[in-house]
Parts: sequence; C-alpha cells; structure tokens
Amino acid sequence: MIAVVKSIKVEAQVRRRRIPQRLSLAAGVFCMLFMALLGRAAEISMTNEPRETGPAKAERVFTPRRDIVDRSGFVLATSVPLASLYADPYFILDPTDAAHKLHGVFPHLDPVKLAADLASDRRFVWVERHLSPEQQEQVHQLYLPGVSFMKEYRRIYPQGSLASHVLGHVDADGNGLAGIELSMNGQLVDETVTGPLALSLDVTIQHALESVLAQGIDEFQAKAGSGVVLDALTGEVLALASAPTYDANRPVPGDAERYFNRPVAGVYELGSVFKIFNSAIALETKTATHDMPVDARRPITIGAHEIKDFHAKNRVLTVSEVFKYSSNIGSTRLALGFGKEQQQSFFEKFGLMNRSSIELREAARPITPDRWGDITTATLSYGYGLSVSPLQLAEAVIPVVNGGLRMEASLLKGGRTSAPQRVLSPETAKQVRNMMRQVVEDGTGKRADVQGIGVIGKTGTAERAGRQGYTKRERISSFVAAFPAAAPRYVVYVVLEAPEGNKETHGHATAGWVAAPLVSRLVSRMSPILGIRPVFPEEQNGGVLLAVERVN
Amino acid sequence: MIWLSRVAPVLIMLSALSLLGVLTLMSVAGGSMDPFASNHLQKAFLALVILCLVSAMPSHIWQQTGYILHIGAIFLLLVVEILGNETKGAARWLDVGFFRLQPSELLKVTTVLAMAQLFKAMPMGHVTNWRSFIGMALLIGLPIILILRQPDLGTSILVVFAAVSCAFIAGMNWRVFAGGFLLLVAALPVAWHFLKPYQKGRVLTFLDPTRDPTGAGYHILQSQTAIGAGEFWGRGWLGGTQSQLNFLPEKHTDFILSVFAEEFGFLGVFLVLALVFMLVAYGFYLALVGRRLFTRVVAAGISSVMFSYLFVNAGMIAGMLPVVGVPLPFMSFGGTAMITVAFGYGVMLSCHIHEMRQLLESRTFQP
Repeated sequence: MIAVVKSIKVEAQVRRRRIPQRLSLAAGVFCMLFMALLGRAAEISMTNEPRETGPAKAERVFTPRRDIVDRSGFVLATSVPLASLYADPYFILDPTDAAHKLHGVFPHLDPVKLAADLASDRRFVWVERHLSPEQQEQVHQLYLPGVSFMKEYRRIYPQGSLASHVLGHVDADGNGLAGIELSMNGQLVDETVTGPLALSLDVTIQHALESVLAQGIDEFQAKAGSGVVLDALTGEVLALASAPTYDANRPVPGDAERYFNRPVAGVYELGSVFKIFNSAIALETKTATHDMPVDARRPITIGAHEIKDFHAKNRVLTVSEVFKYSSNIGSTRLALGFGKEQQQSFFEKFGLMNRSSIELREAARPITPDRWGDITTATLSYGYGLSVSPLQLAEAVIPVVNGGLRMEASLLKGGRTSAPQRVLSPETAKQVRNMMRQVVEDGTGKRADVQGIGVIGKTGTAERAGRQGYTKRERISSFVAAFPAAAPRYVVYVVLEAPEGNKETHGHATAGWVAAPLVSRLVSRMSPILGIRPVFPEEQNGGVLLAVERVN
Repeated sequence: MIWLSRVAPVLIMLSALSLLGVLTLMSVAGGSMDPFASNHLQKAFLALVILCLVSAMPSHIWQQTGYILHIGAIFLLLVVEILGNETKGAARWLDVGFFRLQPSELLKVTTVLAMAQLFKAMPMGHVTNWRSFIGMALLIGLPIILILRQPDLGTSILVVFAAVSCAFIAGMNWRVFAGGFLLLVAALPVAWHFLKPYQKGRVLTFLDPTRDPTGAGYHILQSQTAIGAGEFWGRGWLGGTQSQLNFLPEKHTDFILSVFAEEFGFLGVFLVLALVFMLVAYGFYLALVGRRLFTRVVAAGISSVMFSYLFVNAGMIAGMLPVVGVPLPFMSFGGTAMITVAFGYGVMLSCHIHEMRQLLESRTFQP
C-alpha cells in the first residue's frame, strides 16, 4: 500500500516535470519541421533555375524556329511573331453574341460551331491563329470579355513558292510536315543552337531552274517536271525543283499533285540516260573499249522480247557511236558482255539500288527488278526495269563528271564530310564524258549546247503506262548534262512528264527536242552566276576547240 | 470575457485561413464563387459556429464523450465500408445530404479525445507504462484496419500519429516508444507487401518523381512547378497559369496549396505557415499551462493533428513526402476535416476556459 502510494507520488512528480519536457521536445521538433517546410518553399519558389516541365513545356511551342537560309545567307524561311486569339469560355457572357461579333471580324469562321465552342466547359479554345494587326485591333474594339491574345510565331517563306519542295512546310503549331522543315525539325526547334540553318541551295540558280522548268512545261504542255542541279565536286544540291509547285504561305489543302516532290519522291523508268552507266560499266570492266565495233545491224530477240533501235543505223557501230546514236541493240550487247553480276554491283556503287541519302524524308526507295534475268540485264542497259528518282539519277552521274568519285548529294551547305568512294577510274570517266560531249556536238542532244561554255550530256526518252492504264502511253523526256565541257563540275538534270511536241519541234516530244533546249537555257543562265566565262572560237588556241577559264 | 479572450485568437486565425481558402477556391473556378467558394464559406462558417458552441459548453461533457464520439466515428467507418461512395477507387465518403462526410477525418480528432479520456480514467501509475500502450492499441487498432482497407494510407498514418502524440505528451515511457518503433520498422516490409500497386507507385515516385513524369509523378512535378512559378510575390490572384489552365489536378482539394502558392508566391505560403504555426503554438501553450492531464493531452493532441495535416499536405506538395490524400483543413475544399478540427479546438478551449474559471474562482474566494 505504501509502495503504491509512493509510486503514485513519484509519478505525480515525474508528470509535473515530464509533461512540460515532452511538450517542449514536441514543440521543438514541430518548429524544426516548420522551418524545413518554409525552407523548402523558399527553395522551390525562389530558385530561378529553368524547369523541365510545366509552363516551359507549354511555351516551348511558341519559341521561334530557326531560320533557313541559302548558301549565301539569303533567307528562305523565317518566323514572325503574331497574335493568336483564344477564348476562355468560362468568362464568355453570351456565347451566341460573342460568336456573332467574332464572325464579323473573321467571316470564314462558322458562327454556329464557334458559339458551341464558346459555350463548352473547356477553359481554352482557339478562335483564330495568326491574326493580322488590323484583325487584332478589330477584336480589341469588340470589348469581349473572355477572349485573349497569345503571341505565337508563324512560319513565313519570304520567297513564296521558291524551293518550296525542299523547304517543305509546318503545321499550325510550328512542327515540320515536309521537306527540310520535317527532316531537320529537331535541329530547327533546338533552342541551344543559334543562327540559321544554311542549305546548299543557291537562290539565283534555284530561281533559274524553276523558271526554265515552268517555261518548258508551258511550252510543251507537259504535265509536270523535275529539275536538279548538283555540284559534282562536293555533292551539294544547288537547286532542286518540282513543278507544279506551291506556296507554303498559302496552303491549298488537298492538292496533293502540287505538294509532291517529284525529283525526290517520284520514281521513274528514265530510259536511255542509263546508257551512261552501261557504257561506264563496259569500259570499267574492260569488256569493251570506246572504239570496239558492236553489231547493231538487226534487232536482238531474247525470249519473247525483241530489242529494237529508235534511231536505227542498221550497221556495225563503235561503242562511242552506240552511245551517240543511243542504240538499244548495241547497249544490250555491251550489257550481255559484262553480265548480270557486274551490272548489279555497279548499280549498287552508283547508288541506284537504294534510297538516296539526301536529307529529306520524302526520298523514295527505287523499284528494283523482281527477277534479274537476261532480259532484265538487257533492258536495264537502256534504262527500263529499274525505277529511280531523278535526284538519284543525277547523283549517279556525279562520278562520271568528277573523275570517278561517288559523292552523296546533300542539301546542307558544305555537303558531306564522309570520304568519297571511288566508283570509276579517271580514264573511264573521261571516255564517258567524251561520249557525252559527242551526243551534244553531233548526236541526239545538239539542242542542249551553249556556245562558248560547252555542254556534255545524254538524252533519255522513256515511255510509261498512262493514268488510264496502257491505252495511252506517256513520255518521260529527260536530259542529263554536265558543264563546262572542258572541266565539267555541275550536273544538271531536267525531266518533263508527258510533254507534247509543238510547231517548233515539228511535233517531236523526245528528249532531244524538249528537254535538251531547257538544259541549254538553264546553262546559259547559270554560267554567269557560277562565274564561268565563255570561250569563243576566235579565242581558241593550240587546236583546242573549246577552252574554259574559271573566273575567281 | 475569459471565453472571448481565449476563443478570439483561434477564431481569427481559422477565419483568416478560411478566407485564404475561399480566395483560392474562387481562383480555381476562374474567379467565381461557384461551385466551390460559396459552399466552402458556408462550411467554414458552420465550423466556426461549432467551435464557439463547443468551447462555450462545460468541459465535463467533453471529458466523458471521447469514447462515444470515437465509437461513433468507427461505426461510420464501418458504414462506409459497407455502403460508401467510391471516388477514384477509394471508398471514403458518406453522403449525408448537406455534405459528404468522411469518417476517417473525424477519427483523427476523436482519437485524441478518446486517448485523453483513457489517460484520465487510468490510475496514476499506469499512464506511463505498457498498459496505456495496450489501451491505445485497442482504441486505434480497428479504425486503422478499416481506414487501410479503404484504402487510405495517409489518414491511417495521421491517426497513428495523433494517438502516439497523445501518449508521448502524457509521458509514456521511452522504452515503450522504442519497442513500438522497432515493431514498426520490422513491419515495414510486410506492410509493403499489402500496399496497393498505386500506393507502391506513389512511394517509388516520391523517391524519384521523374520516374513517371506524365503518370504518377505528374502531381508532384506540376505542383512544384506551380509553386516555383509563384516566386516571391506570386503571379497575383487569378493569375496562375498552372492552376487556371488545368495543368494541376485535384487543385481544389489536396493540392490547393500549390494554386495558392502560384498566385500568392512565397509570401503567401509564409502567411499560411505562420497562421498554422500560431494555431499549433497556441495549442501547445494551452497544454503547457493546463492543469489536468485531460486538458493537456487534448490541447497537445489536437495541435499535433493540425500540425500533421499541414506538414503532410505541404510536404507532399513540395515533394518532401509521398502523395497521400491529406487535405489542408480550412483551405482545401471539403468540410469534414474543417469541422472536426474546429470541434477539437472547441474541446481544447472549453477545457482550458473551465480550468481558468476554476483558478479565478479559487483565487477570488480565497481570503
């Protein structure tokens, strides 16, 4: 009993001291935790480090894309800040009235749909993107509660339709949809990179190409056309055109024909221009020499297939003449000479069997033969059986022009850094160039020449099934060229789809009549731009027919 | 006069907190009183009326109703278990017309009252030893299991915390605490096994919020972004983009503090922390000057509950604690926590005022 009383007394004492102790201990801990909260709040709200998530994410869309410029800094695509109008339906007093008023400023908006949007329970509704200053002022004058402006960047192409297929375009939120805008989207929105993206294009050459192509299409009533200008020393694309074209500043929805990038995304059986590769393979594999005789007296029959000549000479031709007169029979004999394996391996080396590595997602995969028998080898010698893009064909001609090195085409200034690959010996390349010069001097491509500059090249007239099946066949007339003849550096390729002959061409619509003259016009416009001085016969010396001097 | 002088500070601080809540709830609704702010204002008013009534009633009533209220709350928990409304996979609410009652919120306060009654009824020598631990376990064992089954990890931890605070203040022996702590550590791996996948996710996400930034980590990151966007002065009332543009989920309930922080900045957060700090400090002061064990336990216990609300809620918003569903009473939309906390403060004040009157009387009547 006494013990119990004693323990109670002890506890009473303990309690008198312990409770205040415990209270102050708890209070101390709480104080520390309060301070921790306060410190954490200060840390979050007063450190100005950039954050990865949240408003930054929302604003990222509205930072400007980098400009795109040509090789000399000419602006091809830029972003300008514009106001965009949005509404917070919560604050809209009378959706119908507001929609009616806004319809007055933006007549193309559907007032019923707009009213429904404004009456929704969302807190953010776009009314109209990218307003002009006048429209913005008119909206201000409406004194509507619940509508606000947001600064957005709109992509502008100051040159209108120029190089539109290369540049591509963006969606309303500024994401690339096509062309360089699509393939380089990551780099264009990268905030860590400053300065514009420089393309290899030259606006003046691009303009020359586009206008010559447009003229040609008009002149020969062609459906469409493609044009490529490459620098064979660097692989840079100086100009790339697809016609018909479009203006990305004024998109026309649904007009897929215009948006289609023909030289890159289109694949065609391009015909006799392939004889360049055929001759090169024959010479490189030493299965032929340029003056070796080839029997082209009568058509060849392989299986059920008869191979005939378009400009039949019906005699024994040299290899050079096979090329000059574009003999299918002679080409077939050369191809059967080096055989299927060599043909395949060289087509690979020329880059004709795979997608072009150009910096465009649109680049098409070639349509390669399903079965590669003798007939295929024969038809491939003159350009049937393998569908490639015009850009790819121009790329494949580069080794012939620059002395045997394959350079992959690039749309970026400076071209590629990877080492070029030897495809042909310099001698083979030179002999093929000589043959190409003969085509222009004295063969099917006379109309491509430019006095004093000298053009080398090859015609290609191919037929393909028309839109309505095989009832009406369409022509693809093209001319691939290089210039200046004495030291060729630039590759030009012009393709016309379904051209019609006219009075001047005496009704002819073959490559030599329609595509060759376009190349001639283009080269005469480009030469001064590239600083190539013409050399005329009176200036000639030492028996050289054409000498060319590079200015600068 | 004693009554007014004791109740007024609490009344002022809770009113201030409620008004900040109303402002923020208006902001959540784009500046309108509907649907949250007006309702919140009514409930806050009701809570303050309850505070006044409870504190004006004689304290002996409250000293005997702790068990009854606690058992009532447990009964309501059982009712929720049987026919509760499921919101987002968790059955926590009971629709009683005027508002949706959340019995687990009631429990935080009734636990304190029941614990105080338990200690009061215990013979002197028993409070500090293991017997009171058994009593505590009996009082909170069943409700903890029920709340965990809802499932509501946050509330069950707060209920345990409320009970442990009471026992701690009452002077429970260190060794009992040490044993309990060891038991808890040993139970953690087992408890992990019983957690729902989303609860495991929350804990993992708390350890690394960027683990799943668009999923489980979204709340934490968005809320911190909102607080960060507020900077020192805030973006101004109705000026928060995070909250106005709906980047922030649950912004009118558990995450209201981030909306508030974005619009009123660090200064606003400081104000809220200061108000709660003063409320807690006032409770501790009452515990310190209290004469009877019941008063002291209730005062310290209710203050601890208030503190734990703020700490868990703010800590979760600031990314210091995992996301658990704990509101900030008087600011978050939802009346149960507000009314029970007001009730708790009412009991605390009633006991204190009674003691003060006794003291005054004894002094007055002594010659």
